[in-house]
Amino acid sequence: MSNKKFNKVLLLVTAILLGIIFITPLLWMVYTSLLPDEEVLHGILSIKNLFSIKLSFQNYRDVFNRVPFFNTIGLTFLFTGTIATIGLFVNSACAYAFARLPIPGGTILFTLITALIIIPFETLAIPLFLMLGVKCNLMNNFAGLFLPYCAKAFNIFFLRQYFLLLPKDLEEAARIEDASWYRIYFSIALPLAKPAIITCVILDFITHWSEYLWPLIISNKSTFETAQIGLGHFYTLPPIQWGDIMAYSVMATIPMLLIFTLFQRHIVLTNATEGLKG
Amino acid sequence: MKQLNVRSFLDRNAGLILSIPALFILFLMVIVPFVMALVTSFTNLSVKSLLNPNHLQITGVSNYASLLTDRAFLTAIQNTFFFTVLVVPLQTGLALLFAVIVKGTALWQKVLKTSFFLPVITSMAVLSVVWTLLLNPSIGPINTILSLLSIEPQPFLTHKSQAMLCIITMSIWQGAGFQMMVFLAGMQAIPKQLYEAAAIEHSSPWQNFRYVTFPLLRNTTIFVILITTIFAFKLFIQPHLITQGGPQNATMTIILQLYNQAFVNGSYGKASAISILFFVIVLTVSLVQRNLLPKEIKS
Repeated sequence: MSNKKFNKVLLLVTAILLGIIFITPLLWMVYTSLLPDEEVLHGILSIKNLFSIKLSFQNYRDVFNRVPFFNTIGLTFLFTGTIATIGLFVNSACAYAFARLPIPGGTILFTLITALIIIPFETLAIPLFLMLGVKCNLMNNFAGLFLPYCAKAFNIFFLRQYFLLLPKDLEEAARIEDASWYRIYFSIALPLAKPAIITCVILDFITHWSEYLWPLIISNKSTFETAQIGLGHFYTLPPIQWGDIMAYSVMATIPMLLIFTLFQRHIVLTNATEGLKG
Repeated sequence: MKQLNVRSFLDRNAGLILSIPALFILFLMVIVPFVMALVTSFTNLSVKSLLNPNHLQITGVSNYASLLTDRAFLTAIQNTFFFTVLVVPLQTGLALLFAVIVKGTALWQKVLKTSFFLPVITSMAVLSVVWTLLLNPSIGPINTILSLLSIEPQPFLTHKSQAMLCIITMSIWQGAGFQMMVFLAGMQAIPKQLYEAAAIEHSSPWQNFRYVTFPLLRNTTIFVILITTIFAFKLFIQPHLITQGGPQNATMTIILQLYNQAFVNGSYGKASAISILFFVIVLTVSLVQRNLLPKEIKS
């Protein structure tokens, strides 16, 4: 019996070691962000004097002194938050309508929506830039940043699948009680579809927090950049100090990590993958 | 009375009214730009002709023709395919291996699952910067470790024969955790009875995998390969941040060409032609892989 317990502990230790090796790059990022500048230059050899080095948050302070980081991170939150919130209602309302209500030309329209999933954003980037950035003058403008993502064909498709699986009883009962479809969508269907909706919101948050191409295109001012673009500029901003750069990287990662850890158990990936097979 | 009419009108057309915001945005932000990309790709639209519309001309297929003789663009296509051909099988294989290992509820499996997944929720831009430091020829820890093992320091990202391989390695490392999660979701759908039956037959873990898990994961695997292929073709952030396509175009990719044509050269016409070519590639890949799926799932 104790042999079995020993095996269990051995397995756990091996797993932890393997896990640590796998995320060494991330650990190295955190470690470097805490090192004083002169030690960063020693690279891995700095580990030898680890006990005499004073790890500190000085690099983090330096980031705030060198660039308007609050601005950047605030914009990134606003960007992801706006898309997630607008998307939540716009996509779910559309998905609900296609799942339950008669729409003129509904079948054809829905086939069209699913066909749109295949169009990669990269194909749309240049015309969107000409449309929003040049024609509508929305360079360095918040509207220009989030507008392209307000509706998402994949989310509509995914949420519709989910609505179709829900039992109709409650909605029918509400119909008999003379509730309007809007009321039913908002007070019955939306709460019932919570797992699918939370999944969409989290995946949207993660996708757009790391979004790169569009924020890069639609901004050309250092006062209007998301964390990813800000990092790209910061890491070529002289003087190159890797400690500061890693501090910036850590701070650009933490919000994503937090959101994911908090909501992780709500994600229903099974349905997400079932969805796209069609 | 009038109020009642409005109400019944709203209620009768609820389907249309609820779906119109999304349909309108999709039309404006997907369909219109798509058509614009197609139209622009047949013109010489550029920074110059934006300022002076007299310069704007319809040039037919000349953008496409010049791209197909453009050395840098052909290199970009070659590099992107090379990246895809290596990343897709290696990443999918690794992800499947990870999924088999961490499938279960033991503590050690949860620990491993979390660490495999961590790079996925770190953005590609952050990881590109981190790997630039790791692979830094002078202060990067990787070269220091190599020298401790008395291996000569390597140029990594600064040499044309190694740069793309470095980007491939980090990309596989970054994305495998996501595919692992999809595989795990697929494995949940496999009926437990099959493993119980296999246990009665005293099948080995390898036989379990070979004859139960893997065949039943067929559709999941096709799905994973499809999205990994499309993601791989989109390769942009890593070369844009780490190497700017260099050294000597060794890490130039299709999307980096698209970006450079539009925002470095200012030729929106040519960039749009790349957009459309890229769409055709993605469409072809999806159609081929979709046809690999059994009929009953497609419907």
